[in-house]
Amino acid sequence: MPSAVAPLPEQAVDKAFERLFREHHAFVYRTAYSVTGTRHDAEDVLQTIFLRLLRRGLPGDVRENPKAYLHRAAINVSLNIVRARKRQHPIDDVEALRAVAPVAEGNQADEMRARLIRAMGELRPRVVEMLVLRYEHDCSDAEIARMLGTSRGVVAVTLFRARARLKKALRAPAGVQS
Amino acid sequence: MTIERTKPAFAKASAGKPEDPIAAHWSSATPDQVDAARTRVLNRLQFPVEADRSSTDSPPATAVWRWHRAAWVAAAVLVFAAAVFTGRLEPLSQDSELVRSGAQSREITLADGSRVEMRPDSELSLERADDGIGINLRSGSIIVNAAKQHVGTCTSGPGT
Repeated sequence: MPSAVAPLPEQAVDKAFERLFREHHAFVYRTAYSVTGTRHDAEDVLQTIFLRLLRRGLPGDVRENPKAYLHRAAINVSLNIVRARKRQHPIDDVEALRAVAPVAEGNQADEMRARLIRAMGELRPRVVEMLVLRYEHDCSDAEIARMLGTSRGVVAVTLFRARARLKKALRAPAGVQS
Repeated sequence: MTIERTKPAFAKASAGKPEDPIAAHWSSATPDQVDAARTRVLNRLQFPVEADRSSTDSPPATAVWRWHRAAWVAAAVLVFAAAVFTGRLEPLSQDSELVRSGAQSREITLADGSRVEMRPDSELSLERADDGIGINLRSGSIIVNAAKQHVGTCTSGPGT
């Protein structure tokens, strides 16, 4: 749906952009971190989103509801990164790699975190949005529903199913993908 | 009214209730990480980093985004050829030398102050070309923070 918000003059865009970054960078970064699980990727997401806004200008829905817009953008970009990891091939020379930086083995907590992130990468963006709002930003069903423009019932059911799926992925034996 | 949120209630195991395994393995950024990311991304976006950001009404120092962006790109464009011409790549100046980051991120600093940040599980090689130097990213991803240069050209192409 096209926005009815009138475009801002360039100088006003600069100020609006700066304010947008200062007010929402932590929210975007935390969202990205919880989906990607690494500070590098979260930082990349933060930079990507604001660079795009810088290049394209501030669309109307950013000015109307910046938090919802930025959250959706952070989830989408983060999921792209998580899904792209599956397409990356590991380096062949494992011994040389270990010589550069020894890999800690047997870290079960890290393995579970990685498993959770992989499982989230297989969910729909809308579902991940709800999960992040719940677990990272501690929003209630009503707050999530308001932010995403849906009903509390939909949020409750979606979260229930998503949690069941994630728990199943966490319980799966090592090496088994959900 | 502003509600100061703490760590999600889901992360805490209440009496008699098992801990939520999703909350237990949830990845949350620390405040330090948020601050560090803010500073680094601001630098890349070429914002003025203000010492006091308590007031959002204070005017931006000299923020003309398009000009800054062009300057940033120009600086990136200049670094590689300049590095080749001066032969100051250290210690990675050998042709086709492989650099791997391993499980941790790794940062390579060139003699002119330019930095190449390698993400975990990234691999690249530096190669000389007729018109400068090439960074051949074989896997993973990198961020190049180029120091300001006076001469040189740089191009980027698709990775493998």
